[in-house]
Amino acid sequence: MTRFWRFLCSLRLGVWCGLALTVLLLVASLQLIYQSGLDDLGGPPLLEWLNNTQHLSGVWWIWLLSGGAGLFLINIICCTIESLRQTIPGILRPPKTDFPPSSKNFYSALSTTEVARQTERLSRSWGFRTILRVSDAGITVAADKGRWWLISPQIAHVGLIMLLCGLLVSATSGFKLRQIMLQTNNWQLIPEAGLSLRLLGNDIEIKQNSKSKTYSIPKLNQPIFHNGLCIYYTGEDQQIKSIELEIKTNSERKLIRLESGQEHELEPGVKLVCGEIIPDFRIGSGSDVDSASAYYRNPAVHISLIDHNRLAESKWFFVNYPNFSRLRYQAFDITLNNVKWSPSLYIDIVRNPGAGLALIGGLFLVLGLTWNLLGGFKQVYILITKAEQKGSLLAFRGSTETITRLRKKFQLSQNPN
Amino acid sequence: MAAFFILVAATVPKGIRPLPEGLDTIWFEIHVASAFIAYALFALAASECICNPSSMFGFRLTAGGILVFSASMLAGGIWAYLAWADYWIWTPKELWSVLIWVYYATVLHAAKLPGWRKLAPKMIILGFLLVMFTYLGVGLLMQSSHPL
Repeated sequence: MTRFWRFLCSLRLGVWCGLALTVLLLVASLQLIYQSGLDDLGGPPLLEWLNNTQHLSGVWWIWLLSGGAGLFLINIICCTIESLRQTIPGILRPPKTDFPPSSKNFYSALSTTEVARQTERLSRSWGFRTILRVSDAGITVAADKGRWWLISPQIAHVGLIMLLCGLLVSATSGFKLRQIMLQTNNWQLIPEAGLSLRLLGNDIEIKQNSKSKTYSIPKLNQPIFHNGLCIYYTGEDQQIKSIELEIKTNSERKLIRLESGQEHELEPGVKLVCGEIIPDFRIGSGSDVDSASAYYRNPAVHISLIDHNRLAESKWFFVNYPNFSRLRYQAFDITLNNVKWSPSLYIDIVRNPGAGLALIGGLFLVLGLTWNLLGGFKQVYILITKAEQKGSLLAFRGSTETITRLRKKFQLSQNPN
Repeated sequence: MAAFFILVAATVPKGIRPLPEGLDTIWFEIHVASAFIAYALFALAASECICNPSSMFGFRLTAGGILVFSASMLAGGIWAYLAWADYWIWTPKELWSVLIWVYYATVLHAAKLPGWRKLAPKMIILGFLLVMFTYLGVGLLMQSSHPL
C-alpha cells in the first residue's frame, strides 16, 4: 500500500475535510446573504448558471466548496474501498476459535459433552453461526451473529457517495424550462425537451416520438413523470386571446375584435393590423418596447395602420393604460376598448438526471445509519472442560448479553457446588 | 426552557387555518417532525456531554440524531423535488442543515482518532449551539426558504 493511498484513506484526512467543509458552508451561507446577483442561483443547473453568470469572480466560494466536497468524496470512496477490502474476508471466514482465555468461569452439573451439545443447539436456535471443536484443552464452542453488520458504515458511505454523485450529475446536466400553456387544440412544440404539449380542459396531452399520452393537469406536490421528464404546475393566469378596438369617425362608431396577426380593413386600401401581444411591457433604451417577463402583469398590443401597402402609423396599446392607447389617422380615431382573456397554465418542464441517483443514495445512507445504530455484532467463545469434582467448567469470552442469557438458561453458578 | 416556550406559544393566535397547498403533503410532516426529533436528540447529547463527558451515551445520542436528521433531510429533498422541481436549493437554511450534518458526522469520526477523543464531547456541545442557530438564527437573521 503506497503512502499516497494511505493518505487518501486516512480518517484524519476525512476529519479535516469535514471541518473544512463546515467552515466553507458557513462562509457560503454568509455570501448568499450579502452578495447580490445570486437570486437566480438554483434555477438552471449549476454549471449552466456558472457559464451564464456575470458574477463569476464573486462566486469563488462555490469553487472552493466544490473542491472541498470533491476531496471529501475521494476520501470517502477510498475509505470505503479499503474498509470493505479488510472487512469482507473476515465476514466470510468461519468464527474464530482461538479467543484469548477469560476469567469468567462458571460451573455446570452436566457433563462436558452434554453442555457442549446443548450450548451448540441453543446458540443455533438464537441465530448464531456456531462451530464446535474438540481438542486436548477441552471442547470449544465459538459462535457469532450479525457479521454483515460490520459493513453497515460502508452502506451509509456508499449512500453518501451516490448522493454526492447525484448532486454532481444534477449540477452539470439537465434543464428547466418554463412554459405557458393555453386552452387550445394546437400542439405546442418544445424542441429542448423533444416533445409537444397541448392543454385540453383539465388534461394535458404529451406527444413524444409520435406517441401521445394524456395526464391530468399537474398540481402542486403532484408533478407528471413522463419518460425521464417531470412536468410541474407553477401557476395559473389569464392570457390575452383577442382585443376589442373602438373605431370612431365623424359619422359612425363601431367595435371590432382582433386576435394577434389578424387585420381589419377600415376603408379600401387602409387596414389595421393587430401585431405582437407582449405580456409585461417595459421601455428599454431607445424607447424600444419589450417584455420584462412571461407573466401578464402589464400587457401591450402592437397596432399598425397600413395605407396602400405603406406603413402609415404604428403604436403600442397598453391594456393597463387605456388613455395612452389611442391612434388617430385621418378621420379615424382608434382606441382600445376591451380585451378578452383566456385561461393559461404555467408549467416547468424539468430533466434532472441526478435526482434518481441522489434519492437512492439518500435511502442507502439512512438504511446504513439505521442498521449501524440498531444492529450489532455478537460473538461468544466458550471453553468447556471437566470440573475437578463433578460436572463441567465453562470459561466465557465475548458478548456480555449473550453470556448472561446462556448463564440463565443453564443455571450456571460461579461456585463448584 | 419548556416553560418559556409554553408561555411564548400562549401568545400565538390559536385559530386553526388550513395548511397552504404546498405544505399539504406527508413529506412535509415527516420532514418537520423528524427535524424536531433530531434537534431533541442533539440537545440530549449535549446535555449528556455536559453532565457526563466520559460517557459513550452522548455519542449514541448524537448518532441517533444524525440518523433522524438524515431522514428529515431526505424527506425535505423529496418534498422539494415534488413541489418545486429541485431537491437542493441554495438558501442559508439548506446550507446550515448540511453544515450541522457534516459537523456531527465529523465529530463522530474524530472521536475514533487518538487525541480527539477528549475533544469530542466539547464538539458535541458546540454542535448544539450550531443546531440552535440553524433552528432560530437562520430563520430570524437570514432570508431563507424556511420561516424557522
